[in-house]
Amino acid sequence: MDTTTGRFQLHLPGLLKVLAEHLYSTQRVGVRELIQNAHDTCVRRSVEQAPQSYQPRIDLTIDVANRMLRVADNGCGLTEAEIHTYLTVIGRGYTRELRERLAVEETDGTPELIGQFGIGFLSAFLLASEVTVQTRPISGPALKWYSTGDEQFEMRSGDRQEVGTTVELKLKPASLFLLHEENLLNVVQEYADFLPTPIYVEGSSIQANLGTPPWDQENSEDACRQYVRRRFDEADPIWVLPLHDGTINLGHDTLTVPLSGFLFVPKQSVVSIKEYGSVAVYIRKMAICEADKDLLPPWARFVRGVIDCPVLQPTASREAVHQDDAFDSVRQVIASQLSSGLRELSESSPEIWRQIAYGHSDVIMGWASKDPDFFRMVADSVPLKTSRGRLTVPEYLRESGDVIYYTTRELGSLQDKLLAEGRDVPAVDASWFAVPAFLQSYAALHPDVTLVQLDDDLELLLRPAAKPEFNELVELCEELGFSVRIATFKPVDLPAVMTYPADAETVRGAAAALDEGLFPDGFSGFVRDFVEQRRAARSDTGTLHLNAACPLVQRLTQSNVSTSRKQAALSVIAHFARLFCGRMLDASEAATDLGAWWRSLDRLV
Amino acid sequence: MSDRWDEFDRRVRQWHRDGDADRLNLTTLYYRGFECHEIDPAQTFALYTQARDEARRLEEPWWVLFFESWRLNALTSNAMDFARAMPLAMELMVLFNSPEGRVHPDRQMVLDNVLYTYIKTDPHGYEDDIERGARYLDELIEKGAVGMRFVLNHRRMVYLSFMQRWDEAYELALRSLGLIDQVTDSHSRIWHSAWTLYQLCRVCYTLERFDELSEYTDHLREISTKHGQLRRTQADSWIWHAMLLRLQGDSKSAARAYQRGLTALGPVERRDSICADPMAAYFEACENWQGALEIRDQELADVSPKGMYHRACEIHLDRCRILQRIGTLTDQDLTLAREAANLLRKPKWYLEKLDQIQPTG
Repeated sequence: MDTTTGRFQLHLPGLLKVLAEHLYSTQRVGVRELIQNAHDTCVRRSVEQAPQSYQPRIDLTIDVANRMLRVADNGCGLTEAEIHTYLTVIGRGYTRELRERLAVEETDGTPELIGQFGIGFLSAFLLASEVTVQTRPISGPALKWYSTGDEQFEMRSGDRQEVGTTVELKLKPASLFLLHEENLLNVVQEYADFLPTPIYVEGSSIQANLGTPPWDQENSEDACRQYVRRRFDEADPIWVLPLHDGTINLGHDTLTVPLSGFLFVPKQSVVSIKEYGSVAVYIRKMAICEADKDLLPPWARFVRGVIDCPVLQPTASREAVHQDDAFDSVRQVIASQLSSGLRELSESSPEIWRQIAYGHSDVIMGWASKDPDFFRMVADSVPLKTSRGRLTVPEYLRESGDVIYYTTRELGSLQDKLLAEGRDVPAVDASWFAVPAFLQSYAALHPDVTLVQLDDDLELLLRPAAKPEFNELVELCEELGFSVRIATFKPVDLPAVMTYPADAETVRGAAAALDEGLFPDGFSGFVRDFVEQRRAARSDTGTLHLNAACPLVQRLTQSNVSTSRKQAALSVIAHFARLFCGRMLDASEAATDLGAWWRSLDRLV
Repeated sequence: MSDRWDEFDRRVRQWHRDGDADRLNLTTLYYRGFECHEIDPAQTFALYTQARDEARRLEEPWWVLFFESWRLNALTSNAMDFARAMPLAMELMVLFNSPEGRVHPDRQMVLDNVLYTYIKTDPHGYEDDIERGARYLDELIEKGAVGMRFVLNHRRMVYLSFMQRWDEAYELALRSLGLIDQVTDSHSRIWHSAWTLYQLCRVCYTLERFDELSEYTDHLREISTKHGQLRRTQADSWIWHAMLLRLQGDSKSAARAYQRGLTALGPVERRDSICADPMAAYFEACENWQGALEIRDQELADVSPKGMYHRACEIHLDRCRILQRIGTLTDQDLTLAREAANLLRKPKWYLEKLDQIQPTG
């Protein structure tokens, strides 16, 4: 067959439908695109041919009865030729061409132009079933353009008096929420808060958008804090870091990355439930995305922010940014400013740094072990949960010498905490998975620091003290039905503790369920074996540890105390220990123990 | 009994309608945990624990059980730490056989993980119980629940391989693959196919069905790249591929494929043991016995503290075999290998094999 060539054909309604309905993820973006077009035409007028008194403005009005939203500007308006060349040609935009021209001429105004792809006007069909454009150019007659998103459009003479353009949208049902003034205001503030062109909603004399980003306002830190409260619904942040242009060393050259905005640290975070680590991204003061998670370093899950950066490249829908070389440069600049900002803060304002470390300790600790630089930055500041409250590692080491005692079992009961302190130093509760890794990184960085893991068995903290003078007490306790060991531990005022192996409750529950026949036939063998093995290892029974260092216990070894008094006292001590340990007791057993306790007390009295 | 994910979706939709952010966070925790299960199973376990605690705080018993079962799954299937899994498995046996637990859709998953724990711990020692448990689950799994069937078949393949019933393992793998069309969603189809092929590759290697191994590794590689959480099977397939290239004498391409495998593994946790079989096979194909030995040593260090007693014994056998080949097998190596038998209930099969190996060094 001979080679033939052909041209692609366009099916315009289909293409319009795809672009308008599938390019954008939400109707709200449609309003942004129209505001942006209005803004660009105002910039164009001020650059190209504005009188000195020119005051650009955009007006959004609602006509509920006719399901109409109007976006009006006093920009350049459109000539008939421009309508044919730009408005109705998909992919060709006047703004891009103007920006390129202005860039060549080095004229002011380039940074304020936003449009890029020549497809933003399509979003009108995302919102509306019918679109009318009423426009009057600076030189030329007023025109009225009308389309239903079909292959045809109509154009005729218009009656608009003022220079500028009004886009009238007959809203589709899915866009009717825009007929509520509050919703419309929200959209304006979400996307166009920082646009310098004033925007007014429903004829209000109060400008709906801020106009100037908080970091460009006087007293910018206060303005940023106020903005955080309004925009992010957060309490006053702990810290605000202004961002500025940054330089990247490329080896052979340096690159300046234009950047503005700020980062802030909210009061508190909770791993996965209330983590941050994202920034709202603006490009030339128009909001692109609410929460980009890749621009901040991965460890910065306690940070939020707002950035404006003209070198970032938006996707066609402008709801996200391309992760290209420019994106990497911006990421590097942000990481560098955040790292040095935090380092400076820790030196100049240790109290604020402490608030950050305390408010975000779990998140910080989770990431610290994965990034050596970040670890070095936070290692001495982040607090550990200990049996004496929250302490940083240096604070802890001041009390313990060079050893860190930790347990990966939660220090739940009071007894656990007391025992964990058996060496007269606090014990670290390392039950959160990130803590052991954090401690190991710390010990690796400080070779003089030793780690001692206390779990799974708190019995490690009880030092055996086999002395013959206690033999009688052991026998008496065994008569009471307790398995006994003599040990020394602190605090010395505590006469006894009761310990159970970690699995004891499971063994007990499994044995009871076996007796009740709760397990399916195919599986009861496993459970029976588990229970038998643990029982053989005496894993389900408790051990009473009598404290040989306790003055009360020592007194009980003396011969001038009668056996019956000793027995009663030991019964009080043993039953108290059982209740105090908070394990392996249900309500009826607790009642039995309490009964025995009272009876023994009664005998003593 | 309702399907877990139907029930999951139903509850989540209700929370969306109610705007209940606290409860919606439970689902965030689930997805976050699943996202990192290949590279950081400790975090997966911690996130599921956090979610369980959160569900308790919100008084959501269904979700407490849901996250309990996923905690166990994180220990067995992600961290492969059966020493830690065992007490939790028993705790959940009690919970999921209580009146509330019996009707929870995750009960099958819990029972399956109990079975898997014993298979990975000591399949010879618990042979009768495992066979009984598998039969019970067989009957429990309804005809329509293809997903659970795949999981159970996978457990059985592991069991049959451990018992060296290779032909049965091979047939079961093919039967499993034959069911794949019954899986309606593509995500699950890829997932189940990949893990079936992962196991089948080992079986084919042992049975020296190298042509089939080649076919299966190609397929495994192709499907693994379509899923974000199949780095392990992707790496596995590259390394088997490398081994096969090496057997064909193409050492340059083999080295490249091996490297691709390591790259695919990236930050995966348990790098040292997840692909140990093809890695050791690759080094053996290169007649690099020292390399094969290092792989087995790393694997042994990984599995020993995690309650995989049977696997530890298999690795000891393999070590001894490699050392014998190098001519440096000592009495000490054999003594160490014998000590590993102390943790088995019925070590006869193992000790008999060890007895056939004589020191050479």
